[in-house]
Amino acid sequence: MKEKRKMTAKEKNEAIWAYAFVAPTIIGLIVLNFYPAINTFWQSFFKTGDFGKGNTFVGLANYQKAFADPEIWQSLINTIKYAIIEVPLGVVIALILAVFLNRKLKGTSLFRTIFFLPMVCAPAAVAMVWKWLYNQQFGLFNNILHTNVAWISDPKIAWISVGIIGVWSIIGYNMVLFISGLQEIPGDYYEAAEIDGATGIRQFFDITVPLLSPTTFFIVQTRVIGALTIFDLMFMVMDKTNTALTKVESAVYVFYKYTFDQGNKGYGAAIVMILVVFIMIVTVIMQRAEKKFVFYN
Amino acid sequence: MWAKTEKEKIAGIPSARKKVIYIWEYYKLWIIGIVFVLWFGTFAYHQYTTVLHDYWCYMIFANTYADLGDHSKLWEDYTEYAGFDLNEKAVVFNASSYFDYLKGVTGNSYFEAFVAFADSGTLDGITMGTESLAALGETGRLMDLESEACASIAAKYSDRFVYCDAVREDGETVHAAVGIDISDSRLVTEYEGYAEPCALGIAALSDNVESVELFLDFILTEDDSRLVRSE
Amino acid sequence: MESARTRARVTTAVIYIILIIMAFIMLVPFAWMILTALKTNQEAISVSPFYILPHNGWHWETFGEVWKSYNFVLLYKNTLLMIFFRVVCACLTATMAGYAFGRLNFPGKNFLFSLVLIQMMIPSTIFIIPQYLMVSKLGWLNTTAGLVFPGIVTAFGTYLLKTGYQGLPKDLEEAAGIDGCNIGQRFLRIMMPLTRSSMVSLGIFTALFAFKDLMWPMIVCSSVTTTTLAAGLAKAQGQFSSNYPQMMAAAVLAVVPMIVIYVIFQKQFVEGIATSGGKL
Repeated sequence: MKEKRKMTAKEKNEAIWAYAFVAPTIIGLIVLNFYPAINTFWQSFFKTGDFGKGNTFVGLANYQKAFADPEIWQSLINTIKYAIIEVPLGVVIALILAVFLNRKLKGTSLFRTIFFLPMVCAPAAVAMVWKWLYNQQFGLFNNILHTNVAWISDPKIAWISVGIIGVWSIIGYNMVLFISGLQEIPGDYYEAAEIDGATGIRQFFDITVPLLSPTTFFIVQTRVIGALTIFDLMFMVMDKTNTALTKVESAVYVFYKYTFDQGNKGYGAAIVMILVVFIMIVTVIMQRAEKKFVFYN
Repeated sequence: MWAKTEKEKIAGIPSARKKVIYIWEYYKLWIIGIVFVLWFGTFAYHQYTTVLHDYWCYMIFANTYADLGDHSKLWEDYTEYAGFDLNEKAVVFNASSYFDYLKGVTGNSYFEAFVAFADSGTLDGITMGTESLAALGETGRLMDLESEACASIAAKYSDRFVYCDAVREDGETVHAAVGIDISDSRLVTEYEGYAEPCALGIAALSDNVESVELFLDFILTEDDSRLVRSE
Repeated sequence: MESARTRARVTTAVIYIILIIMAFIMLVPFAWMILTALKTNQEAISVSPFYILPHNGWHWETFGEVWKSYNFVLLYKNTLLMIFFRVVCACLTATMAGYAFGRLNFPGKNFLFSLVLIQMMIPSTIFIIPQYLMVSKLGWLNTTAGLVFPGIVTAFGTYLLKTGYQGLPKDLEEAAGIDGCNIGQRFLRIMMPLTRSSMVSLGIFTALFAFKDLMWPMIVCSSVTTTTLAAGLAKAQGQFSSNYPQMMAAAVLAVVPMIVIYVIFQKQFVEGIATSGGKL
C-alpha cells in the first residue's frame, strides 16, 4: 500500500515544473502516436471491407484467428531468434570499438566516420552487396570458405545470415551512443587507476563497465525493442519466393504483409496488438532488472 | 516584483547600446522563442485559412514517365473540361508513383504512399498497366464497379470492364470488376501516358466517383467539343 | 620499464589491426556504391561479380550527368531545412522531458514514462495515415512544416536524455538549489550543458532518420520542388531502374551532406571532453 500524504510546497513546485517540461512531449506523443494507435486497436475488432464495402464488427475474431495461426507464432519465434543474435553481438562489438576509439589514438575521427557509413548507405547498395556476398554460386563467402552453402535460402541458417546483416548495420549506431556515454565518464577516474597501476583490461571492468552501465542498459533496452520490431532487413535480401522466408519473417513483416500488401487491416491490427503486448512484457522484465544491474552515481 | 526590479536595473544602465546588449544577453532565449512562435503562428494561420483542404479529384498515374502531373497539359485540359472551380477545391494529378503488384510491393515506398492515399480516402482514381491493375484489385483497395455507387459508369463503360479474382481470407473467391480499359483513350493517344495496355481503377473509399466519371468521359469520348470550345 | 613500453606498443598495434579489419568490413557497401557508379551499366549488372573494379575505363562523367538531371541544390536545401527543424524540435522537447523524467519527482511519472516506452514498441507504419490526414487538414502538405511534423517529439530522444540526466552526480543540483536558483534556471544553466554529448548523439540520430525517411516525404510532398533527397532520388530509382551506375551515383551525391553533418557533430563530441572533463 502506498502511503498517501499531502505534498509539501517544495514538492508541489517541483511537480509543476516537471509537468511543464514533459507537456510538449506527452501532448505530441498522444496526438501523433497514441491517437493513431488507438485507432488501430479499434480496427482490430473489425473485418476490413473490400471493394468499397464498409467494415464489419467481428469482436475478437481477429485475435482468435491470430492465436490459432501457426504463421504468427512462427514469426514471433523468428523475431526472438533475430533479437538473440543482433542485440548481444551488436552491443559487445560496438562497445569494444567505442572503447578503442575513445583512446588517444591517431585517426580516431576517421574510424568513427567509417563505422558510421553503413547507416547512410543507400539500402539498395547494401542489399546488392549482401546478396553478392551470400550468393551460392558466385558469392564471396562460398568462394573463400570453399563451401556451397545456400546462405539465405536454407531455412536452417537463413535466420543467422539475416541476423549478421542486422549486427553489421547496427554497430555504428550503438557505437555513437557508447562514445557519447564514455565522454560523460570523468577522466580523473582513469588517472587515479593509472597511478594505482591498473592495466587497461582492469580499468575496463572496474571503471568503464559500471560507470557506463546506464548507457549500456539504455542501448540494450532500445535495441531489444528495435530488434523485436525489425522489418526492413527481411525483404532487403530475401525475395518473396524464397523458401526460407517463413523461417525468417518477423512479426512486423507479417503485420505489414497483411495490412499493406493484402489490405487486411483488421487482422494486421490484431497482430500488432499481440506484438506490442509481448514487447511490453519483455520491457517490464527488463525495467525490473535495471535496478539490479545498473549503477547510478 | 521582478518586473519592477528589472525595469530599475535597465533604467540604471547608461547607454542605449548597453541596454540592448543587456536585454539580449539575459533574454535572448525568450526573444528567439517569441519571434519563432509568432512567425510560426502566422504561417500556420495562413496555411490553415488559404490552403484548400478538399479535392475535386485526386488521381495517381502509376508507372509512367510522361508529364501528367499537376499543371501538365492533361491536368489543364481536364480541369477545363470538367469546369471545376479551383478556388474552391483542388485537383491533384500525381504522376510519380512506381509499383507493380505483380512483381511484389513489400518495402516499396511508392506502394506505401498509394496505400496511405487510398486508405485515408484521399485517392479517387489510379491508372496503370491492365494486368497490374487487376492484380492490385486483389487487395480490395479498388471499388467494385458493379456496385451502386458506380451505376452510371457501369451503364456507359461496362463493356470495358477489367475483372480480378480475389481470394479473400475466408477462402472464397470474389470475382469483381475493378478497372476500366483505357488502352485506346486519349490518355494513350494524345498524352502518351502508356505504351502497354492500361486501365483505370476507382479507389474503394473515393467520395468523388463523379469526378472520375468525368475524367473517363474526358479521355474516352471522341467528341471534340472541348477543343472547339477552347479555340 | 622497457617491457611496459613494449606491451603498450603491442596493445596499440592490436587495436589498430582490429580497427582496420572492422573498417574494411564497414566500408564494403560504400565502396561498392562508388565503384558501381564508375562502371558502365553492362559491367554493373554482369553476372560475374568478381569484376570489382571497372575494367572499361572509370566513368566519372556519370556523376556529372546525374548532377545535371536533378535539381540537387533544391533537394539539399529542402532536406537540410527539414533536418535542421527536426533536430531543433527533437533536442528541445527531449531535453526538457528527459530532465523531468531523470531528475524530478512528480505524481504519475512512471505512467507517463511508460507512454514514452510504449511509443517505441509500436511499428511506425500505423502512424502514417492519421498523421497524413492531420497535415492535410492543417494545410501543411508540400511545406517544410509538413515534413517536420511527425518529428516534433521523440520518444527515443526523451529516453536517451533521461538516461543522460540520470547519470549525472546527485550533489550537482543541490548546491545550485541553495544559491536560490529555481528549477528552470538550474536546468538551463547547470544541467543542460552537461548532457551535451547525449544531445549530440540525439542530433545525429534525428538527422539520420530524417534523412533516410522515404515514405513520409513521398506522401506529404507530391511536388518535386518541395520534396527531400531521399524521395527525390527514389524517383531516380524509378527512372534509372535498369541503370545501376546512375542510381548509385545519385545515392553517393545524396550521402555527402549527411557525412559532413556527422563529421561536424563528431567534432562536438571531442570538444565535449575538453569542456566537461575539467568541470567534473
